[in-house]
Amino acid sequence: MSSMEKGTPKRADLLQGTLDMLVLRTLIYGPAHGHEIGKHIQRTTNDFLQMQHGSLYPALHRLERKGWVVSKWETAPDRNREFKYYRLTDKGRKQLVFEESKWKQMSEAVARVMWPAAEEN
Amino acid sequence: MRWWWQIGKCNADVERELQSDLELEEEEQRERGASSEEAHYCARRAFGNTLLIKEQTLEVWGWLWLEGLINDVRYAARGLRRSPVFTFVSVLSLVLGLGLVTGIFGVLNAVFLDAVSARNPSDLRYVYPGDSDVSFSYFQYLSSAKDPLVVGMAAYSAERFSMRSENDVESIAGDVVSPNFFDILGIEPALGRSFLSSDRQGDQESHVVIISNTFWKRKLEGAPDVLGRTIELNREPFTIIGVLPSSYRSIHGYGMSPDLYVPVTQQLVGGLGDPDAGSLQLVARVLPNVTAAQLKASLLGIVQEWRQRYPDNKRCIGD
Repeated sequence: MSSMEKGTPKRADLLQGTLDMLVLRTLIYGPAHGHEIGKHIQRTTNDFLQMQHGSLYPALHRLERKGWVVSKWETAPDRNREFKYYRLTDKGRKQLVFEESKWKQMSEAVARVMWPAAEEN
Repeated sequence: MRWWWQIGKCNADVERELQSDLELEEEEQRERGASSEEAHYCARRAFGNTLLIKEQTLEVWGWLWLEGLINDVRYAARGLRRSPVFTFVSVLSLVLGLGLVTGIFGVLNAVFLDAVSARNPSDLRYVYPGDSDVSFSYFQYLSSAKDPLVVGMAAYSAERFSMRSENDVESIAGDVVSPNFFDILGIEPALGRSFLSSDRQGDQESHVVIISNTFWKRKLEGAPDVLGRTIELNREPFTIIGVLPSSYRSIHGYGMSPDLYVPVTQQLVGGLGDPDAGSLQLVARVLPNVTAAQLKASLLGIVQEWRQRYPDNKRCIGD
Protein backbone atom coordinates (compact mmCIF):
# COMPACT_ATOMS: atom_id res chain seq x y z
CA MET A 1 0.00 0.00 0.00
CA SER A 2 1.49 3.34 -0.98
CA SER A 3 1.56 6.31 1.35
CA MET A 4 -0.86 8.06 -1.03
CA GLU A 5 -3.49 5.39 -0.55
CA LYS A 6 -2.89 5.39 3.16
CA GLY A 7 -3.46 9.14 3.26
CA THR A 8 -6.71 9.15 1.32
CA PRO A 9 -9.09 7.65 3.89
CA LYS A 10 -7.71 9.90 6.61
CA ARG A 11 -8.52 12.97 4.60
CA ALA A 12 -11.98 11.62 3.85
CA ASP A 13 -12.44 10.94 7.57
CA LEU A 14 -11.63 14.51 8.43
CA LEU A 15 -14.01 15.90 5.84
CA GLN A 16 -16.70 13.49 6.81
CA GLY A 17 -16.38 14.40 10.48
CA THR A 18 -16.52 18.05 9.55
CA LEU A 19 -19.67 17.68 7.52
CA ASP A 20 -21.28 15.71 10.35
CA MET A 21 -20.48 18.55 12.72
CA LEU A 22 -21.87 21.19 10.37
CA VAL A 23 -25.10 19.23 9.94
CA LEU A 24 -25.49 18.76 13.71
CA ARG A 25 -24.82 22.45 14.24
CA THR A 26 -27.42 23.41 11.64
CA LEU A 27 -30.04 21.32 13.44
CA ILE A 28 -29.52 23.31 16.65
CA TYR A 29 -32.00 25.83 15.21
CA GLY A 30 -34.67 23.15 14.95
CA PRO A 31 -35.75 20.33 12.66
CA ALA A 32 -34.90 20.66 8.98
CA HIS A 33 -35.02 18.52 5.87
CA GLY A 34 -32.02 17.62 3.73
CA HIS A 35 -32.52 20.38 1.23
CA GLU A 36 -32.79 23.05 3.94
CA ILE A 37 -29.69 21.79 5.72
CA GLY A 38 -27.67 21.84 2.51
CA LYS A 39 -28.94 25.28 1.55
CA HIS A 40 -28.26 26.64 5.04
CA ILE A 41 -24.63 25.52 5.11
CA GLN A 42 -24.10 26.84 1.60
CA ARG A 43 -25.65 30.24 2.36
CA THR A 44 -23.94 30.66 5.73
CA THR A 45 -20.51 30.07 4.20
CA ASN A 46 -21.37 32.48 1.37
CA ASP A 47 -21.36 29.58 -1.04
CA PHE A 48 -17.82 28.70 -0.02
CA LEU A 49 -18.96 25.21 0.83
CA GLN A 50 -20.91 23.91 -2.15
CA MET A 51 -23.14 21.22 -0.80
CA GLN A 52 -22.58 17.94 -2.58
CA HIS A 53 -25.77 15.94 -2.40
CA GLY A 54 -23.68 12.81 -2.79
CA SER A 55 -22.10 13.62 0.60
CA LEU A 56 -25.08 15.22 2.33
CA TYR A 57 -27.60 12.38 2.16
CA PRO A 58 -25.17 9.64 3.20
CA ALA A 59 -24.10 11.93 6.07
CA LEU A 60 -27.70 12.44 7.22
CA HIS A 61 -28.34 8.72 7.21
CA ARG A 62 -25.06 8.03 8.98
CA LEU A 63 -26.04 10.47 11.73
CA GLU A 64 -29.44 8.82 11.99
CA ARG A 65 -27.85 5.42 12.22
CA LYS A 66 -25.59 6.59 15.03
CA GLY A 67 -28.64 7.92 16.83
CA TRP A 68 -27.50 11.53 16.75
CA VAL A 69 -30.56 12.59 14.76
CA VAL A 70 -33.99 11.12 14.23
CA SER A 71 -36.06 11.55 11.09
CA LYS A 72 -39.75 11.92 10.48
CA TRP A 73 -41.89 12.69 7.48
CA GLU A 74 -43.71 15.94 8.16
CA THR A 75 -45.62 18.49 6.13
CA ALA A 76 -43.66 21.64 5.42
CA PRO A 77 -45.48 24.70 6.75
CA ASP A 78 -45.07 26.68 3.53
CA ARG A 79 -45.31 23.90 0.95
CA ASN A 80 -48.25 21.64 1.88
CA ARG A 81 -46.07 18.65 1.03
CA GLU A 82 -44.23 16.14 3.19
CA PHE A 83 -40.50 16.27 3.65
CA LYS A 84 -38.19 14.13 5.69
CA TYR A 85 -37.30 16.25 8.69
CA TYR A 86 -34.23 15.56 10.78
CA ARG A 87 -34.21 16.43 14.47
CA LEU A 88 -31.24 16.56 16.84
CA THR A 89 -31.27 14.03 19.71
CA ASP A 90 -29.66 14.46 23.14
CA LYS A 91 -26.98 12.07 22.02
CA GLY A 92 -26.47 14.26 18.94
CA ARG A 93 -26.21 17.37 21.10
CA LYS A 94 -23.45 15.76 23.17
CA GLN A 95 -21.70 14.66 20.02
CA LEU A 96 -21.86 18.21 18.68
CA VAL A 97 -20.15 19.52 21.83
CA PHE A 98 -17.47 16.87 21.46
CA GLU A 99 -16.94 17.55 17.73
CA GLU A 100 -16.82 21.26 18.37
CA SER A 101 -14.10 21.01 21.02
CA LYS A 102 -12.16 18.59 18.82
CA TRP A 103 -12.42 21.03 15.91
CA LYS A 104 -11.33 23.91 18.10
CA GLN A 105 -8.27 22.00 19.28
CA MET A 106 -7.47 21.07 15.73
CA SER A 107 -7.81 24.56 14.32
CA GLU A 108 -5.83 26.07 17.24
CA ALA A 109 -3.05 23.54 16.69
CA VAL A 110 -3.02 24.30 12.98
CA ALA A 111 -3.04 28.04 13.73
CA ARG A 112 -0.05 27.75 16.08
CA VAL A 113 1.99 26.16 13.35
CA MET A 114 0.81 28.43 10.60
CA TRP A 115 0.89 31.78 12.39
CA PRO A 116 3.36 31.60 15.28
CA ALA A 117 3.78 35.39 15.34
CA ALA A 118 0.11 35.98 15.77
CA GLU A 119 0.15 33.60 18.74
CA GLU A 120 2.96 35.63 20.38
CA ASN A 121 1.07 38.85 19.99
CA MET B 1 -36.50 -5.97 16.01
CA ARG B 2 -36.23 -3.55 13.12
CA TRP B 3 -33.89 -5.45 10.89
CA TRP B 4 -36.33 -7.54 8.84
CA TRP B 5 -38.36 -4.75 7.39
CA GLN B 6 -35.58 -2.20 7.40
CA ILE B 7 -34.18 -3.13 4.01
CA GLY B 8 -37.31 -2.52 1.96
CA LYS B 9 -38.39 0.45 4.00
CA CYS B 10 -34.98 2.07 3.76
CA ASN B 11 -34.90 1.76 0.00
CA ALA B 12 -38.29 3.40 -0.53
CA ASP B 13 -37.52 6.02 2.08
CA VAL B 14 -34.29 7.20 0.47
CA GLU B 15 -36.00 7.29 -2.90
CA ARG B 16 -38.81 9.42 -1.54
CA GLU B 17 -36.48 11.73 0.35
CA LEU B 18 -34.35 12.45 -2.71
CA GLN B 19 -37.41 12.91 -4.88
CA SER B 20 -39.09 15.39 -2.51
CA ASP B 21 -35.90 17.42 -2.10
CA LEU B 22 -35.28 17.39 -5.83
CA GLU B 23 -38.79 18.65 -6.49
CA LEU B 24 -38.28 21.38 -3.93
CA GLU B 25 -35.08 22.48 -5.63
CA GLU B 26 -36.99 22.61 -8.91
CA GLU B 27 -39.75 24.68 -7.34
CA GLU B 28 -37.27 27.13 -5.91
CA GLN B 29 -35.63 27.53 -9.29
CA ARG B 30 -39.03 28.30 -10.80
CA GLU B 31 -39.81 30.78 -8.07
CA ARG B 32 -36.60 32.53 -8.97
CA GLY B 33 -38.01 32.98 -12.43
CA ALA B 34 -36.65 30.02 -14.34
CA SER B 35 -38.84 28.37 -16.93
CA SER B 36 -40.08 24.97 -15.83
CA GLU B 37 -37.74 23.29 -18.31
CA GLU B 38 -34.76 25.26 -17.00
CA ALA B 39 -35.81 24.58 -13.44
CA HIS B 40 -35.98 20.88 -14.09
CA TYR B 41 -32.59 20.89 -15.75
CA CYS B 42 -30.92 23.03 -13.06
CA ALA B 43 -32.33 20.98 -10.22
CA ARG B 44 -31.02 17.82 -11.84
CA ARG B 45 -27.62 19.38 -12.30
CA ALA B 46 -27.49 20.63 -8.71
CA PHE B 47 -28.30 17.18 -7.42
CA GLY B 48 -25.99 15.23 -9.65
CA ASN B 49 -26.45 11.53 -10.15
CA THR B 50 -29.44 10.66 -7.98
CA LEU B 51 -28.99 6.95 -8.50
CA LEU B 52 -25.45 7.17 -7.19
CA ILE B 53 -26.56 9.28 -4.22
CA LYS B 54 -29.22 6.73 -3.44
CA GLU B 55 -26.67 3.95 -3.58
CA GLN B 56 -24.21 5.77 -1.34
CA THR B 57 -26.95 6.61 1.14
CA LEU B 58 -28.16 3.03 1.28
CA GLU B 59 -24.60 1.87 1.82
CA VAL B 60 -24.62 3.78 5.08
CA TRP B 61 -27.21 1.32 6.37
CA GLY B 62 -25.34 -1.53 4.75
CA TRP B 63 -25.32 -4.57 6.95
CA LEU B 64 -27.33 -2.94 9.69
CA TRP B 65 -30.07 -5.53 9.36
CA LEU B 66 -27.51 -8.26 9.93
CA GLU B 67 -26.06 -6.44 12.91
CA GLY B 68 -29.59 -6.08 14.23
CA LEU B 69 -30.21 -9.76 13.73
CA ILE B 70 -27.01 -10.71 15.51
CA ASN B 71 -27.90 -8.41 18.37
CA ASP B 72 -31.37 -9.91 18.61
CA VAL B 73 -29.95 -13.42 18.66
CA ARG B 74 -27.39 -12.45 21.26
CA TYR B 75 -30.06 -10.81 23.37
CA ALA B 76 -32.31 -13.84 23.10
CA ALA B 77 -29.46 -16.20 23.97
CA ARG B 78 -28.64 -14.20 27.08
CA GLY B 79 -32.26 -14.26 28.14
CA LEU B 80 -32.47 -18.00 27.60
CA ARG B 81 -29.30 -18.59 29.60
CA ARG B 82 -30.68 -16.59 32.46
CA SER B 83 -33.83 -18.73 32.71
CA PRO B 84 -32.81 -22.34 32.09
CA VAL B 85 -36.15 -23.82 33.12
CA PHE B 86 -38.03 -21.70 30.63
CA THR B 87 -35.44 -22.55 27.99
CA PHE B 88 -35.72 -26.24 28.74
CA VAL B 89 -39.50 -26.23 28.55
CA SER B 90 -39.52 -24.12 25.34
CA VAL B 91 -36.96 -26.28 23.59
CA LEU B 92 -38.71 -29.43 24.75
CA SER B 93 -42.08 -28.28 23.45
CA LEU B 94 -40.51 -27.23 20.16
CA VAL B 95 -38.77 -30.58 19.82
CA LEU B 96 -41.93 -32.50 20.69
CA GLY B 97 -44.03 -30.30 18.42
CA LEU B 98 -41.69 -30.65 15.47
CA GLY B 99 -41.30 -34.37 16.10
CA LEU B 100 -45.04 -34.81 16.23
CA VAL B 101 -45.63 -32.85 13.05
CA THR B 102 -42.90 -34.77 11.25
CA GLY B 103 -44.34 -38.02 12.54
CA ILE B 104 -47.86 -37.12 11.50
CA PHE B 105 -46.68 -36.08 8.09
CA GLY B 106 -44.81 -39.38 7.77
CA VAL B 107 -48.03 -41.26 8.48
CA LEU B 108 -50.19 -39.07 6.24
CA ASN B 109 -47.63 -39.36 3.49
CA ALA B 110 -47.62 -43.14 3.72
CA VAL B 111 -51.39 -43.43 4.09
CA PHE B 112 -52.65 -40.90 1.59
CA LEU B 113 -49.89 -39.80 -0.71
CA ASP B 114 -47.72 -42.81 -1.45
CA ALA B 115 -49.20 -44.86 -4.25
CA VAL B 116 -49.07 -48.63 -4.05
CA SER B 117 -46.30 -50.02 -6.24
CA ALA B 118 -47.57 -51.81 -9.31
CA ARG B 119 -47.11 -51.74 -13.07
CA ASN B 120 -50.25 -50.59 -14.97
CA PRO B 121 -52.35 -50.34 -11.83
CA SER B 122 -55.43 -49.52 -13.93
CA ASP B 123 -55.64 -53.20 -14.93
CA LEU B 124 -55.54 -54.41 -11.34
CA ARG B 125 -58.69 -55.23 -9.39
CA TYR B 126 -59.13 -56.20 -5.79
CA VAL B 127 -61.57 -59.11 -5.56
CA TYR B 128 -63.84 -59.17 -2.50
CA PRO B 129 -66.13 -61.98 -1.42
CA GLY B 130 -69.74 -60.94 -1.87
CA ASP B 131 -71.29 -62.23 1.33
CA SER B 132 -70.28 -61.85 4.92
CA ASP B 133 -66.89 -63.49 4.31
CA VAL B 134 -63.85 -61.29 4.46
CA SER B 135 -61.41 -63.59 2.75
CA PHE B 136 -61.13 -66.45 0.30
CA SER B 137 -60.12 -70.03 0.66
CA TYR B 138 -57.27 -71.37 -1.39
CA PHE B 139 -59.72 -73.39 -3.44
CA GLN B 140 -61.72 -70.29 -4.23
CA TYR B 141 -58.53 -68.55 -5.28
CA LEU B 142 -57.53 -71.34 -7.64
CA SER B 143 -60.93 -71.50 -9.30
CA SER B 144 -61.33 -67.71 -9.52
CA ALA B 145 -57.96 -67.45 -11.20
CA LYS B 146 -59.37 -69.46 -14.09
CA ASP B 147 -61.81 -66.69 -14.97
CA PRO B 148 -61.48 -65.87 -18.69
CA LEU B 149 -61.37 -62.12 -18.11
CA VAL B 150 -58.41 -62.50 -15.77
CA VAL B 151 -54.84 -62.48 -17.04
CA GLY B 152 -53.58 -63.57 -13.68
CA MET B 153 -54.64 -63.55 -10.09
CA ALA B 154 -52.53 -63.40 -6.97
CA ALA B 155 -53.43 -64.26 -3.40
CA TYR B 156 -51.92 -62.80 -0.29
CA SER B 157 -52.48 -62.88 3.42
CA ALA B 158 -50.99 -60.68 6.09
CA GLU B 159 -49.44 -62.79 8.84
CA ARG B 160 -47.00 -62.40 11.68
CA PHE B 161 -43.89 -64.49 12.04
CA SER B 162 -41.69 -65.03 15.02
CA MET B 163 -38.14 -64.47 13.98
CA ARG B 164 -35.22 -65.72 16.00
CA SER B 165 -31.90 -63.93 15.74
CA GLU B 166 -29.26 -65.12 18.17
CA ASN B 167 -30.91 -64.92 21.58
CA ASP B 168 -33.72 -62.67 20.52
CA VAL B 169 -37.16 -63.52 19.22
CA GLU B 170 -39.31 -60.86 17.66
CA SER B 171 -42.60 -60.66 15.88
CA ILE B 172 -42.28 -59.68 12.23
CA ALA B 173 -45.05 -58.68 9.83
CA GLY B 174 -44.94 -60.68 6.63
CA ASP B 175 -47.18 -61.57 3.74
CA VAL B 176 -47.84 -65.11 2.69
CA VAL B 177 -48.35 -64.83 -1.06
CA SER B 178 -49.00 -66.95 -4.11
CA PRO B 179 -45.72 -67.38 -6.04
CA ASN B 180 -46.99 -65.22 -8.91
CA PHE B 181 -47.67 -62.31 -6.52
CA PHE B 182 -44.86 -60.01 -7.69
CA ASP B 183 -45.37 -60.99 -11.34
CA ILE B 184 -49.03 -59.95 -11.18
CA LEU B 185 -48.06 -56.63 -9.62
CA GLY B 186 -45.17 -56.22 -12.03
CA ILE B 187 -42.54 -55.74 -9.36
CA GLU B 188 -38.93 -56.81 -9.82
CA PRO B 189 -36.77 -57.27 -6.73
CA ALA B 190 -33.83 -54.88 -6.48
CA LEU B 191 -31.59 -57.81 -5.57
CA GLY B 192 -32.02 -61.47 -6.42
CA ARG B 193 -35.14 -62.93 -7.98
CA SER B 194 -38.87 -63.14 -7.55
CA PHE B 195 -40.70 -66.33 -6.61
CA LEU B 196 -40.90 -69.04 -9.25
CA SER B 197 -43.74 -71.45 -9.65
CA SER B 198 -41.20 -74.07 -8.58
CA ASP B 199 -41.19 -72.36 -5.17
CA ARG B 200 -44.45 -74.16 -5.08
CA GLN B 201 -47.16 -73.81 -2.63
CA GLY B 202 -49.27 -76.54 -1.17
CA ASP B 203 -47.75 -79.53 0.48
CA GLN B 204 -44.20 -78.85 -0.71
CA GLU B 205 -42.30 -76.71 1.73
CA SER B 206 -40.17 -74.30 -0.27
CA HIS B 207 -38.70 -72.14 2.51
CA VAL B 208 -37.65 -69.14 0.51
CA VAL B 209 -38.22 -65.53 1.48
CA ILE B 210 -38.11 -62.12 -0.21
CA ILE B 211 -37.37 -59.29 2.20
CA SER B 212 -38.24 -55.62 2.14
CA ASN B 213 -35.58 -53.01 1.65
CA THR B 214 -36.21 -51.64 5.14
CA PHE B 215 -35.80 -55.05 6.70
CA TRP B 216 -32.60 -55.62 4.73
CA LYS B 217 -31.10 -52.36 5.97
CA ARG B 218 -32.46 -52.53 9.51
CA LYS B 219 -31.88 -56.17 10.36
CA LEU B 220 -29.12 -57.20 7.99
CA GLU B 221 -27.14 -53.96 7.80
CA GLY B 222 -27.81 -53.82 4.07
CA ALA B 223 -25.23 -56.54 3.50
CA PRO B 224 -24.58 -56.98 -0.25
CA ASP B 225 -24.09 -60.74 0.12
CA VAL B 226 -27.46 -61.24 1.75
CA LEU B 227 -28.81 -63.54 -0.97
CA GLY B 228 -28.56 -67.17 0.10
CA ARG B 229 -28.45 -66.37 3.80
CA THR B 230 -31.07 -67.99 5.97
CA ILE B 231 -33.27 -66.45 8.61
CA GLU B 232 -35.31 -68.41 11.11
CA LEU B 233 -39.05 -67.82 10.89
CA ASN B 234 -41.50 -69.77 13.03
CA ARG B 235 -38.55 -72.03 13.89
CA GLU B 236 -37.88 -72.95 10.29
CA PRO B 237 -34.93 -71.75 8.20
CA PHE B 238 -35.87 -69.62 5.18
CA THR B 239 -33.38 -68.77 2.43
CA ILE B 240 -33.34 -65.14 1.30
CA ILE B 241 -33.74 -65.05 -2.49
CA GLY B 242 -34.57 -61.41 -3.10
CA VAL B 243 -34.64 -57.87 -1.72
CA LEU B 244 -37.41 -55.47 -2.82
CA PRO B 245 -36.60 -51.98 -4.11
CA SER B 246 -36.67 -49.19 -1.51
CA SER B 247 -39.44 -47.46 -3.50
CA TYR B 248 -41.74 -50.47 -3.13
CA ARG B 249 -45.04 -49.71 -1.39
CA SER B 250 -47.08 -52.68 -0.29
CA ILE B 251 -50.43 -53.51 -1.85
CA HIS B 252 -52.06 -53.18 1.56
CA GLY B 253 -51.70 -49.42 1.27
CA TYR B 254 -52.23 -47.19 4.30
CA GLY B 255 -48.51 -47.27 4.98
CA MET B 256 -48.55 -50.93 5.95
CA SER B 257 -45.27 -52.44 4.94
CA PRO B 258 -44.61 -56.12 5.59
CA ASP B 259 -40.98 -56.90 6.28
CA LEU B 260 -40.97 -60.09 4.25
CA TYR B 261 -42.85 -62.26 1.79
CA VAL B 262 -42.99 -66.07 1.68
CA PRO B 263 -44.85 -68.35 -0.74
CA VAL B 264 -48.08 -69.75 0.55
CA THR B 265 -47.83 -73.19 2.18
CA GLN B 266 -50.17 -75.44 4.08
CA GLN B 267 -48.09 -74.96 7.14
CA LEU B 268 -48.20 -71.18 7.02
CA VAL B 269 -51.83 -70.43 6.27
CA GLY B 270 -53.48 -73.74 6.96
CA GLY B 271 -56.69 -75.04 5.49
CA LEU B 272 -55.35 -75.03 1.95
CA GLY B 273 -57.40 -78.08 1.16
CA ASP B 274 -60.50 -76.78 2.94
CA PRO B 275 -62.87 -74.81 0.69
CA ASP B 276 -64.53 -73.44 3.78
CA ALA B 277 -61.42 -72.06 5.45
CA GLY B 278 -59.02 -69.45 4.30
CA SER B 279 -57.64 -66.04 4.94
CA LEU B 280 -56.56 -65.01 1.45
CA GLN B 281 -57.07 -61.64 -0.21
CA LEU B 282 -57.16 -61.63 -3.98
CA VAL B 283 -55.89 -59.20 -6.55
CA ALA B 284 -56.44 -59.77 -10.25
CA ARG B 285 -54.84 -58.37 -13.35
CA VAL B 286 -57.64 -58.24 -15.89
CA LEU B 287 -57.63 -58.03 -19.67
CA PRO B 288 -57.47 -54.43 -20.89
CA ASN B 289 -60.73 -52.45 -20.64
CA VAL B 290 -62.53 -55.01 -18.49
CA THR B 291 -64.83 -53.14 -16.13
CA ALA B 292 -65.48 -54.06 -12.54
CA ALA B 293 -69.08 -54.97 -13.43
CA GLN B 294 -67.96 -57.35 -16.19
CA LEU B 295 -65.47 -59.02 -13.88
CA LYS B 296 -68.09 -59.35 -11.17
CA ALA B 297 -70.61 -60.96 -13.55
CA SER B 298 -67.96 -63.34 -14.80
CA LEU B 299 -66.84 -64.35 -11.31
CA LEU B 300 -70.46 -64.91 -10.30
CA GLY B 301 -70.56 -67.89 -12.63
CA ILE B 302 -67.66 -69.43 -10.76
CA VAL B 303 -69.29 -68.72 -7.43
CA GLN B 304 -72.46 -70.48 -8.52
CA GLU B 305 -70.38 -73.46 -9.58
CA TRP B 306 -68.91 -73.62 -6.06
CA ARG B 307 -72.34 -73.53 -4.56
CA GLN B 308 -73.51 -76.41 -6.73
CA ARG B 309 -70.47 -78.52 -6.02
CA TYR B 310 -70.30 -77.74 -2.33
CA PRO B 311 -73.86 -76.92 -1.26
CA ASP B 312 -72.98 -77.14 2.42
CA ASN B 313 -69.56 -75.65 1.77
CA LYS B 314 -67.96 -78.21 4.03
CA ARG B 315 -66.37 -80.71 1.73
CA CYS B 316 -62.74 -80.85 0.94
CA ILE B 317 -61.32 -79.87 -2.37
CA GLY B 318 -59.91 -83.33 -3.02
CA ASP B 319 -63.31 -85.01 -2.79
